[in-house]
Amino acid sequence: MMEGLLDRLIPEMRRGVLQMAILSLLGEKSYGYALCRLLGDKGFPTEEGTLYPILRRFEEQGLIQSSWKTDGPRPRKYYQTTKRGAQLLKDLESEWVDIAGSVEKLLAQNGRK
Amino acid sequence: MQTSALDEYLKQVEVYLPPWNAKEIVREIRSHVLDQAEGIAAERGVDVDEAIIRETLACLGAPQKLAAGYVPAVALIRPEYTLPFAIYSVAATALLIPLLFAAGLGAWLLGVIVAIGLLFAGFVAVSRLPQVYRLPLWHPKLGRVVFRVDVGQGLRRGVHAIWPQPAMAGLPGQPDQPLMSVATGSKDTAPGGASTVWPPPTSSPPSAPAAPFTPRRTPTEWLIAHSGPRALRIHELFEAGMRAVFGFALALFFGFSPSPFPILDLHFDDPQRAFRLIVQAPGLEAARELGAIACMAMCASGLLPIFLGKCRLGLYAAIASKAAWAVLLYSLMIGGQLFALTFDTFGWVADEWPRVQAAIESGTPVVLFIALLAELLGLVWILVRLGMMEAWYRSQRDAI
Repeated sequence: MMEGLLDRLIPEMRRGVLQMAILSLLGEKSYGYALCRLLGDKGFPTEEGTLYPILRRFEEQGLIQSSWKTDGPRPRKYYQTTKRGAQLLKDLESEWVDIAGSVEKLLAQNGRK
Repeated sequence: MQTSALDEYLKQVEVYLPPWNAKEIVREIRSHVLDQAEGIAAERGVDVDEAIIRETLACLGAPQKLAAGYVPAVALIRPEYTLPFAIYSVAATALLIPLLFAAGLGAWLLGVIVAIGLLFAGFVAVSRLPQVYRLPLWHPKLGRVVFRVDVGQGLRRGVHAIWPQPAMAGLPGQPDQPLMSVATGSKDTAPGGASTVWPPPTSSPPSAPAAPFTPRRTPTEWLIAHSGPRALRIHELFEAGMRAVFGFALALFFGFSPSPFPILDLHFDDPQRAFRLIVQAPGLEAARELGAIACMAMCASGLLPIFLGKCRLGLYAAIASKAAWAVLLYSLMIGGQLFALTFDTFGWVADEWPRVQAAIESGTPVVLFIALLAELLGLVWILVRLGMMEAWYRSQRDAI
């Protein structure tokens, strides 16, 4: 019962953070598969079915830009954050610091009690 | 690299993707699958083969599930409009409101019918304008000096040229004489020998006419004398044309509409926009056939006078029309439950303006009763007119 609940809550909690992580990693140009691997390596294992729609949405919102490169063994679509995306990431980071601080305080307070 | 498993998988994914960017998404997924398969093969120290591709595809999950991630979630959750609000408002005003509101639909329908009716009635009226000599304006006697000019049969166009009305065949007292404006005393005779002037020339010279003996009529006799068949006047033609067109259009509307009662059978339920409009009245199906009959009768009551003038047949059609409308209005009026059902569906009216809701519910039967009363009074009036016309026919037979 508790495990099932946890299985549902953890992805929910990660979902918001994942978007910030993707924006953060796309400061450098990368393609989908490499990004997926990188996210896994950084502690955000992500399914393709989750990653690619987020990338598409970010692109539609003008947060990242993409370009196809066909000079490799196969065509790949590369992504990189735009100025708007970088600005949004900066705002998210400051918000994240606030939230993390607040949560930390709250948990510490509960721990004292 | 082309593999049958990958192609088949991507084909299925494409089916569920939004069509506007499906190709590019599929291309990207293909690239990803091949990258991943290469990674797996490199880990195992083998070449990429169909089995590894299948393994990679199995990791991606079902095609439908993968594609579902790309489908915009607006159908389920729509936190904001993708279009700027102003554009959305304009589009909604221009398209949705006229289409979805019953009042808008009704007004549109009424406007179309009115336009057709006006055009047809105007056409009928204009086509008969050459017969202005039938207007009473041209009939009063101008004392002893009678100006007359016979414009002849040349202007007798329209329906009467091919369909002479019995009412116009020189009946005494009827406005059925040609326009006159020639000096008195001329002997106007039609080519066939029949006199075409009005009043008929007398044997005595105009300078010393014999005063005709005219017995004084009682009001009843006067009424009967003016109740005979005659041609329609312009405004009567206009009204008959309107009735014919309105009746025909509404009869089509009632008879051949796809839904039982289209004006009231509207469904629009969009909780995403907090908009709810469901207007339906299934009980009104019963009124549909009755409405079609009433409208056809109304059409006939307009058409018959146009072709036959004011005559008994036209009055019978008018009686049928009035009676059918009275029955229709009565059935609607006593169907209080039907109207309660109809107006209950206006949930927002009941919530926002309960007094308006109450007024609608209680006022509708009253309005219908008044309309029914008017129809019944009209029916009585036509019966009286029919009686007077019958008396006129009797008087003509007696005179013969």
